[in-house]
Amino acid sequence: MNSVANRVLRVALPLIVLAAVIGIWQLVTTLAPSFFFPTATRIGDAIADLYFSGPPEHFFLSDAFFSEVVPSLARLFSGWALGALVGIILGFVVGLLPRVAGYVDPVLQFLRSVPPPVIIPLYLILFGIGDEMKVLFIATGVLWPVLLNTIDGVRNVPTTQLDTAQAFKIRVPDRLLHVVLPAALPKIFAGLTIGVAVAIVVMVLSEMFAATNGIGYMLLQGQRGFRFPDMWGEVVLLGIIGFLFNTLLLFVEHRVLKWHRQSKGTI
Amino acid sequence: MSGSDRPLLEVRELRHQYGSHEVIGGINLSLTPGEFVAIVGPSGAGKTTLLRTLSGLLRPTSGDIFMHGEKVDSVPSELAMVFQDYSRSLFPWMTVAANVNFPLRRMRQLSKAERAERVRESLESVGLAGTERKYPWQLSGGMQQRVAIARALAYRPSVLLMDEPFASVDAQTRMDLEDLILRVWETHPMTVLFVTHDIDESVYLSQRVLVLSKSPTRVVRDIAVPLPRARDQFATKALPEFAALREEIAGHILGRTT
Amino acid sequence: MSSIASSRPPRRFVERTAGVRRALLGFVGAIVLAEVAIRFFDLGGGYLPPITEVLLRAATLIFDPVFLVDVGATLLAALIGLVIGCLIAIPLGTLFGSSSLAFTASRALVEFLRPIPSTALIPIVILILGQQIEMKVALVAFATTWPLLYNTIYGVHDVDPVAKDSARAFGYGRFGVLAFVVLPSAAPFIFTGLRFAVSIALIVTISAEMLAASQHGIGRFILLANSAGIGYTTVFAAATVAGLLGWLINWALERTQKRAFKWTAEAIGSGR
Repeated sequence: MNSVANRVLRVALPLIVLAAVIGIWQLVTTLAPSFFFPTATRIGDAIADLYFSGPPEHFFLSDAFFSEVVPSLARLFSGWALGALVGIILGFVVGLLPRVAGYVDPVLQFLRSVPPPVIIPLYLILFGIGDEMKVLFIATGVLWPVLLNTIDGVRNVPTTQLDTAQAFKIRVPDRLLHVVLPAALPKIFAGLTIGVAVAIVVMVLSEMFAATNGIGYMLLQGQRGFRFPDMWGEVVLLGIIGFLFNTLLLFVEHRVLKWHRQSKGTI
Repeated sequence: MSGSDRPLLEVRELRHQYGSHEVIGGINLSLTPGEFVAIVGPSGAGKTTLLRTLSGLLRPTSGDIFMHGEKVDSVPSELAMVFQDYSRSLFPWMTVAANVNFPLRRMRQLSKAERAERVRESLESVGLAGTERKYPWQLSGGMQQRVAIARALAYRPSVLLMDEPFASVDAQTRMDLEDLILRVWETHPMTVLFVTHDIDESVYLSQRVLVLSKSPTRVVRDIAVPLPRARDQFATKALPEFAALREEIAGHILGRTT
Repeated sequence: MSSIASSRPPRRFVERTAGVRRALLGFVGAIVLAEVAIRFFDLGGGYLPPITEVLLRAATLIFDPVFLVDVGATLLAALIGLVIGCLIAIPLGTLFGSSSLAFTASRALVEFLRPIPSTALIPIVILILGQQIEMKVALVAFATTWPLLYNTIYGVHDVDPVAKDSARAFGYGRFGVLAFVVLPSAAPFIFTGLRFAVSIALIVTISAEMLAASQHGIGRFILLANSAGIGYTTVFAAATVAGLLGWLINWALERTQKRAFKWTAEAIGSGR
């Protein structure tokens, strides 16, 4: 297979697959109609009616978009960013102190094994039912994969690199920035990527308990009204959000890792 | 089909193309039973491609391969191969014994006891007696390559293909392994086709050296190696005939521009 | 020059328990910190019970038959769903990872469907399947399929071609190569996917129990204890036990992985 055909396929194939999936769903739900599984077109209509039926000045976004989707996105991103930030900083601190590993690691392993839903009551007590609670809840979920991956990445910097830096008497802050950080970045990004998936799962959860708006809240509203197209619409929307978030992160990852790979080559 | 001068393996007009790039441009060779033949050529000369076609891993674009006078289409059952990268060709989840036994698993005609005996015997002939329960990653590089050789031996092939098998070990280990393969060849009746980029190694080990050109690869020269049968790492290499052969082969490899 | 790794001599008792001792110290330290924060710095504004009380309650919960029934219900649903997820994902993943066209196509499929959070499906599945174990199993099966599928596809796809060639050169056909080379080689990565799937299974099961009016389950227990207003000690104790359970499962899986696949770490260590 020659390379031009290869590259065309690589770009076209995902789109073909997507079209195929939608097409199969449409076909099956049209031929075997079910109340529980509306056709793709009905789901599309529901999404359009809910969120994209607004005036042209607002890019056709409806009021509901601004009152439901935007808050969800805001919580998602701020929660993810907060969890990522804390996770990376703490991860560096713990990772750079190999002596504390034996004491701290088991506690961390325990804390991250607590399933997020069971700490909802705790967070409701501590932080109320507003946005802070949700953002902190999301941040907590994101914290663990980022923290543990950062620790792993920082601890596993190749010793030859560290030794080289020491032999050339490179100062500690420079060592951290130019040796430890680049070496740990792949693992950190892996943690951040898992964090995206966790953030979305947890965000939806948080909006299904004690929430007055958001995509999760809309899901519950749809459930109360038995409105399946609406519910599936929210699910599709979440899938799109997740896909875009992932793609964005992947794009950043490629850029950053390429830059650091080049900078590593100059050391 | 007896007669030691009847070709065991014959290759006629073998060609191979990757896309529009012709890697092998018509190779003819024949091996008789019990020969030790070295193939040497510049890098990129399609040596590995040639071995892959012979071992059945790759279907050549054109040309024929004959074993015992019969055309071969798929993986010939009398051929065993030793790869250069032992750490990737041995299976790390299996013990040494399991690795050596691997080719024998498929051979239904062997009993369990017979297989165990072959494994033990092969390991002994490569100097690894007693390592059955170890894992490959517990052994040094040289020892791992011995396991790979033992694995091929256990198969009792009539042709042993070796693809630059000693290129990934250090010089001293290489000498040990070269002498090992000579010993093994003396004690086990088989033909060895040994691919290498090391001219000295090709002359030291073989009775015949096939010199390949750069791609599109052809056999440029078929040189007999009239050195005494018993080889010694220092005595043999000090012989004037050795230097002459080395010079002749090097001239063909380095002098060629196409 | 030859280096045969010798079997380790048995370590002294003090050395072997050093890890456990440090872990205990770490926990004690964390508990003391939390206790001080709650009792003296009023963390939680008076609503948060002291850690020591929570731990005592957790200890009694572990022997409480009502709670144990709930734990069993959650584990059962998670396990059945996980098994179904494995039965779907591993064969499919092996198939997709084996052909390069199927690989590219399935990657696209997984990248689009994977981001869908399984928690979002809870309301839908509750309406379709009810509030009991069938609903939980279906959700867990869906949720666990994705990480297992992803890891199986990549694990199978990334098997070393030299390893496959070695088997083929000795006359093994497609099925032989699959059974004796591809699957053992991919197994560690598939197992990693399994570990991730286990934690997802628990999250999804407990979330579903909390959102539905399930008859049994840890989620139900916590929900009831929360709304009963009997003090948050029991709620947090249950949460602690759930965490301990998750931790135990994680630890067991990690040990199994290290033992069954010790060749991966060693192979990397020997400079592969």
